[in-house]
Amino acid sequence: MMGWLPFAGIVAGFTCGMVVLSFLQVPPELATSYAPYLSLATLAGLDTVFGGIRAGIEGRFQDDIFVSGFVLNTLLAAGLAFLGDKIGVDLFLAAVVALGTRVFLNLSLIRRYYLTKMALGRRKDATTLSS
Amino acid sequence: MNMFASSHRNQPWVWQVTGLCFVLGLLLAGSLQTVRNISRSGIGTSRIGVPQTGVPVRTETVQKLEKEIKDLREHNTELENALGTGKGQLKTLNDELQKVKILAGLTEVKGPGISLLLADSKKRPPAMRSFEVTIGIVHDVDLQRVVYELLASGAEAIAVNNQRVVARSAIRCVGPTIQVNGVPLAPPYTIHAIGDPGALYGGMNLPFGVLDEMRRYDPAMVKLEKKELLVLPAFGGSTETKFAQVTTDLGSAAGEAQRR
Repeated sequence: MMGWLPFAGIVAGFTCGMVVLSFLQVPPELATSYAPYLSLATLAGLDTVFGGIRAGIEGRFQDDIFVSGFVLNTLLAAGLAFLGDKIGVDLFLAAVVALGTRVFLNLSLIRRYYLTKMALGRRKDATTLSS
Repeated sequence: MNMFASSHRNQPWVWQVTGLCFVLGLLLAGSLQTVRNISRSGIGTSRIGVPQTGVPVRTETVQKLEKEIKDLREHNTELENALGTGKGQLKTLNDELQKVKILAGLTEVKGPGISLLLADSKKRPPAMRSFEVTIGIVHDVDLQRVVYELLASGAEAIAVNNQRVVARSAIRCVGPTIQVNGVPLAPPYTIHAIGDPGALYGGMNLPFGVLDEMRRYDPAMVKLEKKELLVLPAFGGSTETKFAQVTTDLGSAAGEAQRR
């Protein structure tokens, strides 16, 4: 079972980022301008990770779709945010809503898979005990 | 359960997801650090919050600086007066200077006059015809006309919401506010004018005059009062000139201007 690996990845990335960014002193004026883009990228990453896990447990995982999905979703979200900034409409909300919905959907499918598996395991246990 | 048939033993996708999870961790750390950076510097994270949290700080600074200007100018007047309490030329010069400063609006002045309150009407326009929507609102044009009418009626000092109107003052509309001396003012607008109260009152009440249209639409928009004593603040803005220079020799300057 290698289910802990993604979590280890998140923790490792997080520590790495914290260490590196604590050395890089970004001026706050700059930070305010790119903060929405960074949070959108985070959301796109979250969406891709959940999408990948779901595809993996459904046995439909394809690495090219996975990677290109992450890159293109991030670019599109950032592009929307940029365009929204230019024309004065908060277009980044569209990306937030769309990606957020997908994260929840994928999470529910993953949960369902593991719940089904647990139920099947319990039934198997029951049959082995009774026989 | 064919859909979940993939074995958990050999999972190449777990590695890829792990890789992306690493990136996600980096992004999370980045977001967290950014937000922390921003909140430490006192700027809000939300887009709407940015000007709202920034403005009070700046307003405070501006108010402090304006106070400083006022104090310095008062101090200046004091020093000039101290210099001019002697006799002869110095005194004459200083008297002249103080007169000019009153004319220029650089000193606080008091005297009788009128107080005029212009407020936006609470009445809604009867139909949503676009040209009528703007009727119940006090515009920059209204303030301009009032100020000019007051000047024409002999006002010696005028202030709009405590912004002294001087020779270089501009009254203009910027979004929902009206700027006087570059300072945004919000309705209701209080206009104080020092001068002969009767003359100023009459000037404001001229038939078909400046207030007529507003009064006809909604009498509550206008409140005009004579005042025994008004105190008008000094002009707080910059008095620097960048382009205009004093010509010392009138004849030669005119000749130079003609040659160009």
